[in-house]
Amino acid sequence: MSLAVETWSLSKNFGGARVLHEISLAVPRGSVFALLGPNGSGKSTLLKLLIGLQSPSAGGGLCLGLDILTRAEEIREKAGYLSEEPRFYGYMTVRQLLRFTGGFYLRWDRELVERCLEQFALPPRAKVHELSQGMKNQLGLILALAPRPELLILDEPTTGFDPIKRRLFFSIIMQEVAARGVTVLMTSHHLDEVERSADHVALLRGGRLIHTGPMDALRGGTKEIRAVFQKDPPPELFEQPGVSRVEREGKGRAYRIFVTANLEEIWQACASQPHYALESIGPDLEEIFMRFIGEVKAND
Amino acid sequence: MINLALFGKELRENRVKFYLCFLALAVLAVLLPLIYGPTRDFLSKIIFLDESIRRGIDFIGASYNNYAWSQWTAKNLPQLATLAAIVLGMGVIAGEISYGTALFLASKPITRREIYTTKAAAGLFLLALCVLGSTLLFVLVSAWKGFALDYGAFILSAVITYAGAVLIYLGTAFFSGLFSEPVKAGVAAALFWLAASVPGYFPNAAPFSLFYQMKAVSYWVYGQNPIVPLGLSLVIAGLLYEAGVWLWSRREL
Repeated sequence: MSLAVETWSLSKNFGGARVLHEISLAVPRGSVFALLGPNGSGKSTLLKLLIGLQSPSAGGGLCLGLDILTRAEEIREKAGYLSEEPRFYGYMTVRQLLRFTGGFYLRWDRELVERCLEQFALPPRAKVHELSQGMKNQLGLILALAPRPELLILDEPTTGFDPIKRRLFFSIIMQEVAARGVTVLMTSHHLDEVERSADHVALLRGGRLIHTGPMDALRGGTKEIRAVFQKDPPPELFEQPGVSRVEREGKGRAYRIFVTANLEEIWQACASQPHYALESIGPDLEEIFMRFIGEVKAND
Repeated sequence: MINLALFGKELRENRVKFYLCFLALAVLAVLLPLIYGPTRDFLSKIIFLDESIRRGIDFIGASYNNYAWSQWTAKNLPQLATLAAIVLGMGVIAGEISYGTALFLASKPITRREIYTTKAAAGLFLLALCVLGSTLLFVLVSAWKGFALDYGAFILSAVITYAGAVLIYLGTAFFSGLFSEPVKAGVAAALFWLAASVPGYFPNAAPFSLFYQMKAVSYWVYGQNPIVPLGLSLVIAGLLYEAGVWLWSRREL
């Protein structure tokens, strides 16, 4: 498998505190890779390390086959980066900022710029400081896409977007992925959008990588049984191997049982109890995310 | 090493500072030759009790060359050039940090050294326009008035002043990498250069003062070849530049 990003034991300290702990990550080329985690989990720091905006305290990595320690400028030529809540030169117009940014790159797709300006309905003559945060993010995406990058690194790109703009934003990204095989590495708090667009996921918490893999495997590895029992179930029902977590909904006898193994046995055990309803479903990304974060919290 | 897009942006961002600095210098560059006659006549009528002042006035009145050097190269030009160097240098890095644009700029395919070099080149270009452009204006007004001025030596003296201003600019740019606010960087640099001016107040130590050298005293008054102070300025400028690059390259964004 060809990799767009590969890191090994990548660590970062700020002062005396370690904010990233030995991250070993593999992002396949052509994938849409979502980096998820609570605030302060080190997502933004990891992205900055990949394009040389910060230096790792230990470990290393390759980005598009280039060493992140020694060839950061070449990486930035080939990788578009959109920071969280980007700040641009507010006194410039949209058109001036585009022209200014184009001056740094060998390639600059003017046709794409015009098409995206139109799609986002961004006024080229407006001063950048007059734009809303959502419009600035849209402009940031155009600036990141115009050099025809092989890798698109997006840090919370849809902050300040309404749902329609968010959908449009992701559709433009997906067009690029489909048309040119661009790899997308992004962080986002909008898990529904991530679920729709990402095919690989990594979960970070407290600067540690707690899970990474294809989205399908993540979904397939976890099932949820929803049961409404007629009377209180015996405690040993929830102590079977494979039950990772149990949530009781309200004060009634409705339960959400999260299962990582032995689904059939656990299902049969539940079915043997008198019940009003029993169903098995695959949890959505938000539930998986909460489960992983919850498990790590419990182990902390 | 120089990115033209960034160079253009720097010229644009610093244009108001440049206009103000150049305007102040240009007004003096026009005014000083125009008031030469009345000033000489006025000073010749005053009786100075202090002998050293008397000697100074006699020196100024002796020739237009002396007047031009004493009022321009030894006084107004280094003072305003110092101010211009601090004003133009204080925002080199701190400006990007305080406006929050440093991350955007550093994420472009350009090294930190190229960013710093381009910004410094733009600032030094504007500083050169201020110092040398206004000196040229002084020369033109003097020629128009028909005053006898040693033009070559006068312009070379301004180059010596500019060399000193380059050091002040690069020193201020270094401070700009230490602070996150241009004003704080400017104040810190001003205090530093104020401290550096202290040797100039003692006759024996004066040649070690940057500000003494900026007046081109050794060259203009004593006729010494300026190659040594200019060469030394170049070396110190190189060290200050490298220190500024080092500081900016280590900055985590």
